[in-house]
Amino acid sequence: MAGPLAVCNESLGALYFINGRGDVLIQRIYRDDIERNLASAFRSHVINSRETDAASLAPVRQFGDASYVYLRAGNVYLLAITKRNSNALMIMQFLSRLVDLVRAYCQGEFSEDVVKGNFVLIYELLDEVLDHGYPQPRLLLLLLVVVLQGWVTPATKKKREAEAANATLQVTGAVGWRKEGLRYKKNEVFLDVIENVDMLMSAQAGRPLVLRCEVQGRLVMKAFLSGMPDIKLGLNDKLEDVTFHPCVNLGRFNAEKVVSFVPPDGEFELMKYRCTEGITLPFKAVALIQEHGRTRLDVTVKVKSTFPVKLFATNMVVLVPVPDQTARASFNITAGKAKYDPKRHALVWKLKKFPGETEHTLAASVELIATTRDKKPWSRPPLSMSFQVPMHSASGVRVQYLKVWEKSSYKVDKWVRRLLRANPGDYEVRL
Amino acid sequence: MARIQNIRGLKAYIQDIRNCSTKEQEKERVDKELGKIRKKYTSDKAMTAYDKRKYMWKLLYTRLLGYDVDFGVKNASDLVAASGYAEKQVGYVACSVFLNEKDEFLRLVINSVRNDLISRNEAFQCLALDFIANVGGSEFSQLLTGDVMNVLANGATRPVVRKKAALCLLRLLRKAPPDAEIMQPEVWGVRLATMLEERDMGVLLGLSTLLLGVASRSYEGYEACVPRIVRILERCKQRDVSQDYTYYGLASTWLQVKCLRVLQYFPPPEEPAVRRMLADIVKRILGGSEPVKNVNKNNAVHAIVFEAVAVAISLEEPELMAMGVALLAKFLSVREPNLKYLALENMARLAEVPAVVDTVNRHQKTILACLRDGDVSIRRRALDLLFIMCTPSNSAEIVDELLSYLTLADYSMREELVLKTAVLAERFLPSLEWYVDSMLTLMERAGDSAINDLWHSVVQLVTNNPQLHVYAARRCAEALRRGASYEVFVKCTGYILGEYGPRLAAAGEVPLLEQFKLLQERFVAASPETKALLLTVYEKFAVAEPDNAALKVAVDAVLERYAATLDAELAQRAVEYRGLTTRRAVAAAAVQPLPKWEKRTSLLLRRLAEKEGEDTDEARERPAWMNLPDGAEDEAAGGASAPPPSLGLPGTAPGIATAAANDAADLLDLLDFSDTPPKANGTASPGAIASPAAEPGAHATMGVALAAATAPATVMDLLSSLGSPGSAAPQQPPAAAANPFAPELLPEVASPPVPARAAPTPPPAAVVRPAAAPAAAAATVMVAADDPFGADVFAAAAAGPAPIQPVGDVAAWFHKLCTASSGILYEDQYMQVGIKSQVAGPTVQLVLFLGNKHSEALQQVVLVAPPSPAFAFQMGPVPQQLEPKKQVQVSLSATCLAPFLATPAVQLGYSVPGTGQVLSRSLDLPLVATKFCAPPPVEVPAPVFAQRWQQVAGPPFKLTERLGGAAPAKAAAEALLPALGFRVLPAMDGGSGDALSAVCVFQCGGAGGTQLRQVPCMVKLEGLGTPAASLAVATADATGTNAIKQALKLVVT
Repeated sequence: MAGPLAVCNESLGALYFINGRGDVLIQRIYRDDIERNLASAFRSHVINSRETDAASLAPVRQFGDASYVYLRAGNVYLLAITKRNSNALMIMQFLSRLVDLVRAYCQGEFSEDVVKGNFVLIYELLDEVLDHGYPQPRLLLLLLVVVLQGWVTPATKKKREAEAANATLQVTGAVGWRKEGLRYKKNEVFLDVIENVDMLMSAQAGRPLVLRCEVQGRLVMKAFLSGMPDIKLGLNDKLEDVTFHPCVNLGRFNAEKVVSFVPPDGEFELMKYRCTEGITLPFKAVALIQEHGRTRLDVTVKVKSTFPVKLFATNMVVLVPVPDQTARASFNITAGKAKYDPKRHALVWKLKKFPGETEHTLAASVELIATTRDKKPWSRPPLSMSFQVPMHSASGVRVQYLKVWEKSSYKVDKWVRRLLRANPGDYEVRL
Repeated sequence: MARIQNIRGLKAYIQDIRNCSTKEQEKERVDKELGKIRKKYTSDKAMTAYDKRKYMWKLLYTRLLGYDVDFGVKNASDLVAASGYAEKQVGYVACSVFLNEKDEFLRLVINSVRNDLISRNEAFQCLALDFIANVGGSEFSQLLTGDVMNVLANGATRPVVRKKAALCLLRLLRKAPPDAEIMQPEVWGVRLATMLEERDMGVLLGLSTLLLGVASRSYEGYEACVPRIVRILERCKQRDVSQDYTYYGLASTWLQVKCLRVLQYFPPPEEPAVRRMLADIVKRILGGSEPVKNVNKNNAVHAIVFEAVAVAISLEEPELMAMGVALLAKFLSVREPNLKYLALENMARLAEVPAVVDTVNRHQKTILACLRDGDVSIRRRALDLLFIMCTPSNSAEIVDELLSYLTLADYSMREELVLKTAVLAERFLPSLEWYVDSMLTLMERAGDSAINDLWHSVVQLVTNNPQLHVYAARRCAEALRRGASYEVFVKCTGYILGEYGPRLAAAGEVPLLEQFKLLQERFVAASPETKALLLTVYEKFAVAEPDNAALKVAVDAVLERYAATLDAELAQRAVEYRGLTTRRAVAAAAVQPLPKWEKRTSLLLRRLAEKEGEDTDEARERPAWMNLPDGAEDEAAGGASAPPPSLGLPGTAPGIATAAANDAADLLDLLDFSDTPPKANGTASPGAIASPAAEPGAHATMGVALAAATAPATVMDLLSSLGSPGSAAPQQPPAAAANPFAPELLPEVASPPVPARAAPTPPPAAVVRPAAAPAAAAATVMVAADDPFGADVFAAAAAGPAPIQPVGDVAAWFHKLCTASSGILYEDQYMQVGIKSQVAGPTVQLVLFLGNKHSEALQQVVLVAPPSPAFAFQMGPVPQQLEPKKQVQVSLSATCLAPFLATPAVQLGYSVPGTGQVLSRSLDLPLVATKFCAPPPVEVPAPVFAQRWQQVAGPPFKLTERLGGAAPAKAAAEALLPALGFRVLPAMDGGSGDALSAVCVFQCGGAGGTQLRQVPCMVKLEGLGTPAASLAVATADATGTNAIKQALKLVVT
């Protein structure tokens, strides 16, 4: 009986790597209550399902008495099955960390081919991170010592073994995330402020209404510093909903609003934030679609950039959806290239460079092919844009200073970059 | 196909799709391709023929993958009209995939199809014929049948085209509306016969398939084909065919099977030469088929053999059938399960023919051995066969064998086995004692697969045969000592010991105390229902030997314990019985032996019929032509692909409804002069209940009241525990008749549920009613309207002042109305109810005339038709109040949904304001089964009748009843039957003076979500005018047979 004091179970019953066709690549079963054929339910209900409603796309599903938690990375599904009342969020987090872990070992790649090429490695990693289905927190730094890759010389092996023996000492030390005695010829630190903007605008002509708008920012640091440096980072006050890397001294942040930390070596995500207010949108778009009978369609799209004129957006792609039975389209555009892409059921307008405070238009006339049967009217999915604007931020977060202290007080080269971007499907305007 | 392979783009496309590792990749590839094709199709440039083909094949492939390619339909239909073969081919294939027969777009291609059909190019003709056969719906059928027929009839076309044309025509026939007369038999009978002279085996195969389809609807007009078919068979037997059609040394096996099957639809050939030839062929088939090593050859040979057996049955040649039996018996000993199964199945068909039952019985041992086969379906078939081949001479042996098998049988077929064993025991009982023994053994061994009907039958039989009483009791006691304690077994033994145990004890065999102990051992584990029965049994013991102190102590102990049990029913019984034991005189009066049972149809047979109804899916596994006639009509009406030969009456399905409607008016006129003298009849007399012995004033002491209340309880609880409400309902009348004052006393004894047990009345209503009864008469009427079941009983109790009695004989009126269309239904001192009816197919339009004879207005007039499973009622408005000396009409339309046994009734109620008198009674509507009968639309020749009569298995589909001296003379019956909707066959039964055969179609359904059903029915009256007169009815529906038999008996006598 699960009373009010019922313990939330933290375990997975089984873990699968499944490819897009539904074949099981890797399978680990940790509990007796998991039957061997449970993964086939996943194949038939999720991978091969044609349902597109919200319930069938949910990442946590229930078939029979088993719960399925899955995420998709590249063309591989990671699936965890449990029959207990496990913490779904924990499992989700674990799965995404697992992907990161494999990526870290495989040059940032994760795909079916990577999994197939590294079976032994992945099994080894799984042995480290899951004990009887209970996730074990592991720092990548330590794993790299324990789980070795490729051909290892006896000397390296000996060295690693010594490191492994010291591992406990180090992990339980004051700065568990940084090794002592690092030396660099050139001391450098890079800080990237990357913002993703996520926006949905309504279709009202004349007075478009922003229905949803959110910026998710990440501060990613790459530190190549000798010794045990102490870094201080000053930000303006526009932050809400912040998450820090474990190395950050939270006490000082709360007291002085200063981010102070001893960085791990190499690349790491220093902090994340989220922002929903005071956002300046980089682009405004207006789309007009006129249907002429059953076989013709006229599309006009105007896109205007609002950021300063000296900046520019790159890799801008505007997707204007059109009905499925589109046969051909002819375009009249002020810049870039446009074509009809049947795979995406949309007109694709690409602009390599889009300067600030300018306006471009696309006018297209679309020809449809007649069908024999009356279909449901076209659902008019929203227009979507993807782009990158370097050195711009939509939330207004700015780095005020970045200071590095070290006992030997060497010279440090500091680089700060900013990037605002929208991924495909994030920046949408309803038609 | 060679051309397809040359299309490189198609190959590449298919290869790409096959190489896709995920669904998304595949979809992307498909979307890309479809985009390209859309672009090409809308382009201004004309496409080359090659491109057109390529893109259409691609679309076709994409469609088969499950994607939507609607935009290609128009191009596909354009390709159909193209001139080259390759384009046409892909056009036809694509159209038959994209379109279905209901598609409007099909109209666009119909013209091109027709052009191809009448063109001189054979390849085009073939394409068109294939397309029509694959896609064609009723519209194609209307427009193209003529052209297809021309192709078929044109002797100049090549065989390959004509072969296709024959099959295509069959398809169109099936698709045509069932009432459309497409192939006129007078033209096509001769034409088909001429065509069957053809040499080409392929065409012959097509033609025989067509003939099979045609003959399965109606063979009339095609008799000329029979000699030709026989000649084809002869040709096959002489191996006079080309090498292409030889299969393992056999000439065109498929053609042989088809021909043999066609022959089964026709009556045996009349020409002696043909008949001899056919018999000779069958003999050769049955004679020379030794199993060989090759499985394929064996299968081919056996297929022919099984068909030949069927032909032998239809030829009715005992010698051939005997050969068939011998051959099948040989198959039974083969190890191959398929063969065994088929042999058993065919053997069962043979066993239904009376002439060869004995021959079949010779192989009883082999068949019994099949009961122990490893395959359950073979065991089932063997059981079926044993059931069919059972005759009086071997019944005892078979039943004993089945009983010993019962212990081994697996659970999946146990219930069926038990039921069938019981039916066999009941049907052919060699002696009554044997029957009791077998049934007891059966119940002992069957365990939980036994059903209540088993012990009900035993009890009925024992009760009705006094010489059995002590014997049965003795055997029960012995069986109890052996130790079985299954529910049904305990009920049966308990009941019999309760009734006759005291006599057994009196004979000094088994003392009552021991009987009590035997039952008491099983008491604790029994269900509440059984416990209730046993309590009554104990009470009977106690009453039978009032001076047996030990018994009394034991019984009292049980009653004492159960007086405080949680189960209200048991507690009530225990309390009442305890009360009874203290008053000996009352108890002796209250506990009486049960009266004899009315003669009724066997419970077991009814249950078997129900079971067989459930098993229809199993029946469907068999080829349609082998099915028993049940449901044949439905399938024919639905245009099923291969309708089986319907029982008798060819062509009953289409058009009969309209014919029947036209006939209905004439029928009504005819019925008027066919009145038979009215006669009081015991069956269904509603007066029995509503004329209670009038002693409401008699003041009963508490004890007497208790006694009287318990007396019906004893009778009724034994009855009510007879099982489901369905089977309990018909058992009511004897109980009520035996204790007519039970309801009277009810209000005084506060034990409400006693009568309610049998007739399910909601308890709260039962409590309210007695209290309110004397004063609020009106309220009772309202209750009566709410609850038609309880109404009779309680209205009688409520009518305090003076019950309203009918003036005249209600039963006689009813009897008269069974044949007349109008007359009096009911009359009393205040009201007269007249009725007028008009029949239209399964629906009867009734008008009820309610006339007030009183000088004051009648209040609270209620007329309701309680819902009945077999009828759908629609009733017009009924006024609340009836003015003096006025008459109102109430219309009521009743549609028969299914064959029925119980006559439907309406509830009539009113109150007389001045006197406080209240009437509430149920009036039986004169809707008997014969009202829904209509003559079949075609003549039925006498030999066909005889054959179909033979085919109907015995009970419950064929029932016979003695009419005794009440039967009318032949002339009267001959005049009466047509008036009832029967068609009398003129030259039947060798013209003997006292027999009469008639056919009709019973119609029901068509409303309330049921399908219109037409059940052909055959009737034989024999020995008319003599005391040995009998009536036999056969239909494909068990209930229907019974209903028509009862109705006819009622009307004729």
